[in-house]
Amino acid sequence: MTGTPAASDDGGLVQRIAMGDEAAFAAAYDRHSGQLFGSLVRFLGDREAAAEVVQDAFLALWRRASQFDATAGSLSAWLLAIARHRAIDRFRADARRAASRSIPLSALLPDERDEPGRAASEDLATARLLDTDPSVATAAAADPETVADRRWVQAGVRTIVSELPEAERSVVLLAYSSGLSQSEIADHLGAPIGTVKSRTRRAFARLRSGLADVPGLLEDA
Amino acid sequence: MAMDHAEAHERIADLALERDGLDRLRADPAPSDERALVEHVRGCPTCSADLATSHALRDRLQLALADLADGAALDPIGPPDWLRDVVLDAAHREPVAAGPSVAAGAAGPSVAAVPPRPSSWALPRWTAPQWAVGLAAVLAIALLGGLAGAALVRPGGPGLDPSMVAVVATLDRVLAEPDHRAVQLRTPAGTAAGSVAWSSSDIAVLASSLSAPSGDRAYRCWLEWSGRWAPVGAMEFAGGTAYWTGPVGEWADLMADPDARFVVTLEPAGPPRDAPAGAIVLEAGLGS
Repeated sequence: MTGTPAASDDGGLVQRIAMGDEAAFAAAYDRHSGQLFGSLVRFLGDREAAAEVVQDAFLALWRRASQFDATAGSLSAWLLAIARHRAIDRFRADARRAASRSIPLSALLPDERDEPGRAASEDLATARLLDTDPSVATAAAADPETVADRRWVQAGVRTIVSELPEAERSVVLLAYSSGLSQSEIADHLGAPIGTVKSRTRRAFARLRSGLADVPGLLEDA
Repeated sequence: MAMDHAEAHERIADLALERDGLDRLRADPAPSDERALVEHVRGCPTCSADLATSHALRDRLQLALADLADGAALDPIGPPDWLRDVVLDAAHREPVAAGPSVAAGAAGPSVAAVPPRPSSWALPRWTAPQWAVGLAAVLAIALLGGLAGAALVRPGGPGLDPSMVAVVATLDRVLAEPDHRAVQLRTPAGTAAGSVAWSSSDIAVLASSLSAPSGDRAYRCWLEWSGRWAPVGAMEFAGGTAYWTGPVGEWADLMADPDARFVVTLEPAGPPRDAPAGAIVLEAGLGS
């Protein structure tokens, strides 16, 4: 998960990067590429595209390390902000391409001039692209910014959850994906309720910390 | 009986575990068993931020996980090994543009160099028996000691103040670490008036007894040992609470020195000095 100890000396690392220290740059990559790549793969649904954006973000760090201001946020947040911007550009472009490919499907609708029908076909195409349900794609057509933001948050949160220790990840998953109560989770795992609660509380503490480190993931909810 | 910060934090954490538990606090009128919590939160920016963050976390988790078809979607996804080589090689081939120095604060919370430390200090391992205090007890020190009695009512009611979110997040990180420590800040007269809580990575300083300084003054935090001083940072205000949070970083050794003191002084505004010029308003021995 977003490493607090790491965050504590990112400023020094960036200072060294600004002076051309490649070892510091490698250390920054090792520290932050996991979260960045995980979020991007989940957002873009494409490992190669995610790798390209990761590369762009780190080269931006290499070129502009002297502009980094630790008082304005963490290095992790800075890298994620760059990645988010580029990833959303790609996302929009892909959505536009997917929408344009949906024209043959529009032709199957009762009235080609029927705007809601056309929108529906585009939604379906976008839905395929987003690997989500058409209602989300409808929202995408109506407000692509909102959907992109929402998808980015979803990708970021899933990545931070994925970095929890296994025992904590499993209780979070059972609570929020399966909708189980704490006592149901205890039954499911065959663990004492106290153990489940303490795991969940530890997970929450880590998640709050991890999410608070990334602008837009927690404070705007 | 009025609820204190420690109880409020504990109760919010408990409610966050229950399905729809946090939503009970939004009922009007509040359920009788939660009335004390609701009353407390209404007048306390820190606990209000705590509650809002808990709500936000719950909402974010629901958004991100509710429609998850397969737990495998939460398996960690690591970058391919080749990407590291590509990125490092690309940087190697590209000279770094000369630019202004990294903004102040980028290297840590202090802008002044920390004087050399006694070399005889070994960083002690914070053992469980020494710090085996429960969450409530630590919070009682870290929050109750720091915030009790403060006039924290904010016009317009409780909201999510980003600075408080950051403070709560730092406190969370500190308290989640088993080896964290906390000491009470006291006025020169000996009155408990705040707290310093720290882990191996973060420090959180909270004080409720300080009045907001005039524009030409600032409260500054220091570490003192053997008559030597290291500037830590200037305190901010939210509601009636003065706070400073930041990484332990270069102060790790000092924070582990039981003979060192954490001191807050009222200083003339401006760049930090090497040693305080103003009066000590709060202090705590780190071994206390």
